[in-house]
Amino acid sequence: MKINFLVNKRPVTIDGSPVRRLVDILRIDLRLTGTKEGCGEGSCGSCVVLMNGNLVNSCLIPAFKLPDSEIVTIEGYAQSKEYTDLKQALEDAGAFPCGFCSSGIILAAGNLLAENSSPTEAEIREALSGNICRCGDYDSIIKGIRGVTAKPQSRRYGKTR
Amino acid sequence: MIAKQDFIADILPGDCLYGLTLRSEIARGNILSIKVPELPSGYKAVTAADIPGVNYIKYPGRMPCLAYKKVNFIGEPFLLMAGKDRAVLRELLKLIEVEYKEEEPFFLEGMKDRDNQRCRVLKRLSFSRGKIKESLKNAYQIVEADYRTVAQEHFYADTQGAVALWDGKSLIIHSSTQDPFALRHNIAGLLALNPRRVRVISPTLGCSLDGKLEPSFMLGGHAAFLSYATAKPVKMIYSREEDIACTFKSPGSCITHRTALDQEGKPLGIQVEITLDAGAYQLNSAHGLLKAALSACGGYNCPNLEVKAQLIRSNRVPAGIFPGFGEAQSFFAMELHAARLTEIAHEDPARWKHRNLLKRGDILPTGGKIREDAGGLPVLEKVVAISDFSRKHAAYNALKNRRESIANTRNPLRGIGLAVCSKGIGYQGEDHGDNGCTVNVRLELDRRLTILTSIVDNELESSRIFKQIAARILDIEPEKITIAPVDTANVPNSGAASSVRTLTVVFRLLEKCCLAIKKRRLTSSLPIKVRRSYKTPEEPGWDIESLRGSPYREYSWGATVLELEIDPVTLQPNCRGIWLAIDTGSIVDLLTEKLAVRMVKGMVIRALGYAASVEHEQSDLLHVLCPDEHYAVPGFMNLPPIEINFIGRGEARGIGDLPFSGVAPAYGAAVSQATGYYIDQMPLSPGIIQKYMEH
Repeated sequence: MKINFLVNKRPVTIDGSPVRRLVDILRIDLRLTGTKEGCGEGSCGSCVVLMNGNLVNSCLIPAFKLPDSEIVTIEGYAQSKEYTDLKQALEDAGAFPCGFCSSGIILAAGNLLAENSSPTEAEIREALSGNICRCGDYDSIIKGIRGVTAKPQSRRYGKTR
Repeated sequence: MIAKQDFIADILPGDCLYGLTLRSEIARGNILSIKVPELPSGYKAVTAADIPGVNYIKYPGRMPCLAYKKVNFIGEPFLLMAGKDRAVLRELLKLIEVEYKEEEPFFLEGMKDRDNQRCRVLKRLSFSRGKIKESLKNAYQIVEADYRTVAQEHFYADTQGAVALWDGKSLIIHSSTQDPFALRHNIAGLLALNPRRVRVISPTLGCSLDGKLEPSFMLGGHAAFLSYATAKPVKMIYSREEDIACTFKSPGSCITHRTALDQEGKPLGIQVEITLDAGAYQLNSAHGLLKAALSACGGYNCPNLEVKAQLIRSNRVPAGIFPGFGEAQSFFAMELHAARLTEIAHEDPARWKHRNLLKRGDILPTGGKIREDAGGLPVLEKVVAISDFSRKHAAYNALKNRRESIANTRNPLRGIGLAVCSKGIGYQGEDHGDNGCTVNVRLELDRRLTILTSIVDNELESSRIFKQIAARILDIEPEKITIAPVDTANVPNSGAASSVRTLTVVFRLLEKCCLAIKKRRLTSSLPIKVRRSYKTPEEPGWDIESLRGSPYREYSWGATVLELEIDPVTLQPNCRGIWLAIDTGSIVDLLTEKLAVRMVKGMVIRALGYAASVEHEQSDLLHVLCPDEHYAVPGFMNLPPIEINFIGRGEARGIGDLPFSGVAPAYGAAVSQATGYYIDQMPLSPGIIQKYMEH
């Protein structure tokens, strides 16, 4: 089954089983290894990507749902100004000691900030409720996200419709 | 920030095959036959019979790398298959026909199982002091209770994996291992190679540590064997489900406490019987048993005591090294028993502990003396003050006493628990990996500095601290300091990565290397190479045979208070706050308070995950588990406020496993106060709390 879709604004065609998972297509076929697979069952948020502007766990997305969709991975989001601001703020807050959960959390945080430029702590916790950091670094992450809230957020990256 | 090609799962060499594992579906029995269907070209299956070297991993006990004819736990590997497509491999594994002859397995599920005829004792330890029989005979009251913990999952961040590349002469293996040199040794034995022909490269390890020892040797051995058999690069990554079901866990335990009390509730004698479950094979569990026995009486002072400990074999997944290995089980039992004693005495737990904790000059259970200033008292006083423990404990007792029954209340059931634990640092008996631990440092011709060690602990941000130490001593800009990648071809053996070893051995060796370079910098020509190895100090104060004396060089102390409320309808506990006071020497100066706090918080969330998780029946483990059961660790929404206070006395010691030892009993004591039932097991799901109410 041939499937055409966009990944980080570039057209991609894959040929294979319709039930292959998006996380495998990204990591193995396209070598976009910034997306991590933590649990393989949608519980930890390590494999989060943006699909048509919405956060999804890529381990739960089969290939047959991909035609004509637009996927943004952390590698694509990293080209944006929003990423640079967020990354800096998180680093300033000393977040992510091991880094395994970072791409999922950054995408979830970026998605939140695109919709709500100055979220409260409760809103941040709710927006990141699908992500787990097993280093227990939640306070630093929240502090980092709040660190960018003073700066204007312009648009939702990757949103096409 | 974007971790590219860092973790083991991100490594994918060209022309790479994948490896999958076929595992036993029975807990105990013989494999009579294995029928492998005709495999497509490029797919290969191997069994123990094909292993060219010795079929076991050793660390320091042994277990088969692949089961041969006999299986001893559900999930024990006995066949490996490699091929290009993982989906095809999964289908091929399903076509393999295995005929078993099943035998009745043995599981340690309760106290009665200790007397089961199939319960095989692997090791026994015992020691005593004073006159325990007399104290029991003369007691005003004897309080006896049994406590039970089940195996605990690690909840590490990144997946277990290995990528092996055999070129016909030598093997390179990338592995998510904490101990690259032990893995090298195991693979060399498995493939009958000189260890010099095996090179282990360890990529970034996620948090947490201790889960990447024994499993990495099994998985690394399997990937290496498949690469050897197929002459192709082979990658093996465990799914989280396979990992949780089949890799090493903490040991389960059954512990009986018998305490003789005088009229004022003061312990006259403590008698403890510990049974620790090694699972199907004994690797490091004997050391866990020793740590459990040494911690059996907690941090309390008692003139008469007796400790008997035994390690037994069962048909559960083998126990492996785990934070609080043996100690956490003992502290869980002792601290919950102490909560019971204070309840019986109608006394504030904080006051009871203050009266009975070991103080400076007191005698340890094994006969040695407490050398630190004041044992656990400073952390107890601190945590009680910052949590307002005594007032809350009295208030929740009053609420409980006013309540007619749980069924008739609409208000949350409230409870608060307190636990004080210690962690022995620098074991004085046989070596457990520190001895010979080596660090190399090179000052290069271009005046750049290279630090070489096989321990780079991501959780501890050791790379950053290595650079800080070297920069401070040698006055070099951190940018000119390089940490060599962990590769057995280049770095010395620094032992297995652990935060305690990094803090108490590796940092100190690095300091010595840098000081030696500083001394020679103006007199020797470049490059200057310095090597320093750790030698365990010989202290005559500990006799391993009789278990007499001071078993550890020093102790860290920690006190935990945990407050929770339980929904009276769903019985779901909701943790409202956790307070910790920790005395690990001047650790904050070394790590920065922020990093030390983060390390402790990481351990607290994993310990909380265990306390609130659901116990699995062994027979269910190979079947699909509910996601919530996999990921019981708290997330952004349900992580309670955690306040951590460090009390620095003396040289920096390891934080070690203090949060693991303290959170579970504090959680149990809080549930006990909230419900009014004596809690004697861990974990504690709403279903388990319901059972307490029914029985």
